[in-house]
Amino acid sequence: MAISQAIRFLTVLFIAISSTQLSAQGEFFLDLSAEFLSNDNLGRAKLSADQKDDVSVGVSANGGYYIQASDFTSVSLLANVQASQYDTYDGLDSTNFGVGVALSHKFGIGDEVPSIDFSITADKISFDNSVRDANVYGTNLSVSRRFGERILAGFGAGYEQRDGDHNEVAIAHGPGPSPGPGPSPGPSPGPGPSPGPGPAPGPGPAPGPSPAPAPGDSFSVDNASVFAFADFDIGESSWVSAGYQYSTGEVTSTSTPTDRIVAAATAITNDDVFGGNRFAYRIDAKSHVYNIDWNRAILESGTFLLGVEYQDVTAKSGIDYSTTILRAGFIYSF
Amino acid sequence: MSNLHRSAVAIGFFLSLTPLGTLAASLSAVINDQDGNPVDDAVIYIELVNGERPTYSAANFDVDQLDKTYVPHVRVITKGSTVSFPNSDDIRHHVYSFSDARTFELPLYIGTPAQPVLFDEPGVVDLGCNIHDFMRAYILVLETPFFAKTVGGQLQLDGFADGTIDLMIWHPRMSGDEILRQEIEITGTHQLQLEINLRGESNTGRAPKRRKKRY
Repeated sequence: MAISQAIRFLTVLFIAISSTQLSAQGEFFLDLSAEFLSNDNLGRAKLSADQKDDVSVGVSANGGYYIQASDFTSVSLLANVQASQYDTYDGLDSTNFGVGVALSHKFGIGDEVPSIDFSITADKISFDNSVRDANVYGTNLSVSRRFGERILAGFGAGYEQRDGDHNEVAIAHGPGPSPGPGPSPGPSPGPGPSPGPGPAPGPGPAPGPSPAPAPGDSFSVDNASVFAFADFDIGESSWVSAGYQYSTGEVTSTSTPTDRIVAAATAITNDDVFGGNRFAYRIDAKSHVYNIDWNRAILESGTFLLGVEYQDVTAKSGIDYSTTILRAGFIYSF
Repeated sequence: MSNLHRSAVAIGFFLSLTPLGTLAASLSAVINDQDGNPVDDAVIYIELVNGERPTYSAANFDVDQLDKTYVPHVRVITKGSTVSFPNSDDIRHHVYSFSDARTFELPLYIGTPAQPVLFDEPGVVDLGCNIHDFMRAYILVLETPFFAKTVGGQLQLDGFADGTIDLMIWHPRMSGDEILRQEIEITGTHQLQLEINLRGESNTGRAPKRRKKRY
């Protein structure tokens, strides 16, 4: 269903673009990719009991229209669709539709001349469990250049705003873990009713006074980042991509309640994707993300890649966690 | 070719001379790389025949752009020749060269530029496209009519006089951008087998890249 929607979406976009006069100056491009991912901390949790791992497969199409507007400046209209499916936590299965515009300017002639790239993107992400549904808006500005035949390096800055559709305050929320079983308390006070189902009764946090009412838009987060990246050709057909990103802003962590995270949270809502008595907390955080991919060009227009990504996040009130993502994928360009 | 470094780096020549001396000598060559693979686009040319530079004439050539690739990858021309750069793609290209032998630029265009480019200095001209950095090609400008380029590692060079020749071997990926030089005595028909050292070439420019998601 999601795939057919995606194809229709891209078809309409491409027809609209090709009907303009721009088609005399540019070209369509389309990359199809399939990816296998392993994530050891899907909920971005601190406590080991809350850290859930899973594997997923994803397929995506990134297409668009490239226009060489002048000798040194190009514009790309971007569209993408993506679908992901998890092995265990099917609430995380998702579809993504996105559009964007990218501008690129090269500061002269030659393959070692720096270029500056700017992009604006908007994505609609829908999950099987709708608590994570969101519109994501992002912008990036980067500068890059080649150093000889084998090295491409650059740096940049970005900003991302994720507007979650979900804004229901947590129900059955207690501030700390319980030493024993107890019934879940009622809906926490807060603005508006909480129509959603609460977590299953039974062992869980002790009833107790709810914290000050927190908003329920835990998946609405903003982040600003700076990043650096480099590609190193290591043979005729292989290259290594390495990157680092520092972000400051907010993250969403799903865990069982603790005093510390409740105190740090700026939003709390129910999140039953991982089962049990867990909540999604939005907390202020700073993160370091490192990634390295090995890529091999195959089939003339294809790339096979293996990669690893490590996220090290330090949040308010001493809450920290890490996530390791392993990746294997194939991209084919038409 | 005085601006080019020349070297008589040791290479394996296996020359078989025929007993029949003729006025029209010919040379056939097989060229492999250091791994024994046949080499395409290696150029053999004769700079001097019996100590004299042969006469040559200029001509018109072209280097096409097709599927974001320069065709041919290596074009050999004589000094004073012109080269047209038709663009057979339906997108625009931006041809340029910063080489000492010829610096020029053909800003964004589609179709065939009205004026071909004159190459009036000998040497190697590296071509690039400012839109597609992975597009590379080479024009070798010579002062001799006796040249040939390998296809599948083989070439045939005919029509020069018997005697002592300065044989030059060039390839765009030859280590150190050298031109190998060998003075040999040739009479009649000859066969040559060469091994040349080539540096690796990156072919990753056209490969799709993963689009990274920021956080």
